[in-house]
Amino acid sequence: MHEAAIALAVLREAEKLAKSLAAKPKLVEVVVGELQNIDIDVLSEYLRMNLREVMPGVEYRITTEPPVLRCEQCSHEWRLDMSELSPDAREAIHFLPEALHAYVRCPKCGSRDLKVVRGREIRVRVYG
Amino acid sequence: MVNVAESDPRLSGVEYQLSKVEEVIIVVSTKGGVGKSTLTALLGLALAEKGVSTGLLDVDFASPTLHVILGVPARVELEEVMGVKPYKVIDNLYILSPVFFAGETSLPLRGEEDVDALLELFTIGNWEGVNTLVIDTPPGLGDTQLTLFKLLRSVAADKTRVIAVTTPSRLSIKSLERSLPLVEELLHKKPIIVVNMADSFSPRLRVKEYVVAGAIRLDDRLEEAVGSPDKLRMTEAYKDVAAIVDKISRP
Repeated sequence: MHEAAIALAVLREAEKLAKSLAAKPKLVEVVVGELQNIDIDVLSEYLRMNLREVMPGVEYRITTEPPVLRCEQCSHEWRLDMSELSPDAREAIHFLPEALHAYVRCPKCGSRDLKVVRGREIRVRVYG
Repeated sequence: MVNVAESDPRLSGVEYQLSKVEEVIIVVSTKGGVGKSTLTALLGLALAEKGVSTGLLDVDFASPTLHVILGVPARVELEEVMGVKPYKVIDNLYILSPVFFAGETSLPLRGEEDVDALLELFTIGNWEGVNTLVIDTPPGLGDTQLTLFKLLRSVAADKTRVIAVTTPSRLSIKSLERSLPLVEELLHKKPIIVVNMADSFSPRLRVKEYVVAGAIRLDDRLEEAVGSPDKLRMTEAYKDVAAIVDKISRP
């Protein structure tokens, strides 16, 4: 998912969420799984430029979540170091995180039957 | 009191990306091997020939083949603009496939991951300039199809149509008949039936109360045409699909 597309989706979603809050929105938090391999500075810049127009006076915060994988064959669980992957793999996973199954194997048993326990998704939270 | 609301922004992303297209056609079948991908590719070629800017999306993560039929390599350069622009096959025809990211490797995806991959592909696909999006689905009625139906019903209900494919085989027709009410119930749309690998009796085939939009002849030349849009357009199967496109095209 491209940073501009993410920022747009985050802003649209934050607006919807704000309407469901009982209180006036104060903070938008974006939780970004590192598997998305998103350029946080770029995402932050898009949000900084556009949030004030959509939701004036509301602050934002970006929190990152490191990827943790579990092997579905041998149950080994480990934290994936994205920097160990090739640039091609990182690029592919950036667009389609499930592509990791083509590039990552369990370090214990070599299986590609893996589950992402944490660090895959992007979530938006709006605090009132 | 702390007041907090949380959600997945991809749904807004999907809504935004799909707002760019005028029409969505999903090609489905519960049976495998009935020719969904071939039909999708030929639909794309026929629509493009009519001057309709058409996008093809392959959501078969276990076995994507749409690109193979159209002769598109697994590794292509995609332009990053608000997501990714699909790859141009020929004039008026564009494609987005999971192979562009995973290469020619089967992805061992369990149900939840299938759903995630589907949502992600819809979120990144920038169909700006595309009129009709045709989606090639894997066989069955599982996580991918159920998620797809729900997604389209919530963000593109008015512009979605579904084509259900069968062969003249009694097994295939039985499977189709069983699945049609469920597809209709989930998508709130009456599926259009297309009979592929048809024999001379197929045009008169009845599938319950559903409309059979047309039959595609079994065509020996199709196999050797795989990989070449030019050769595909010379086949009898293509002519049959072009006739179906004329029949189902919106005025």
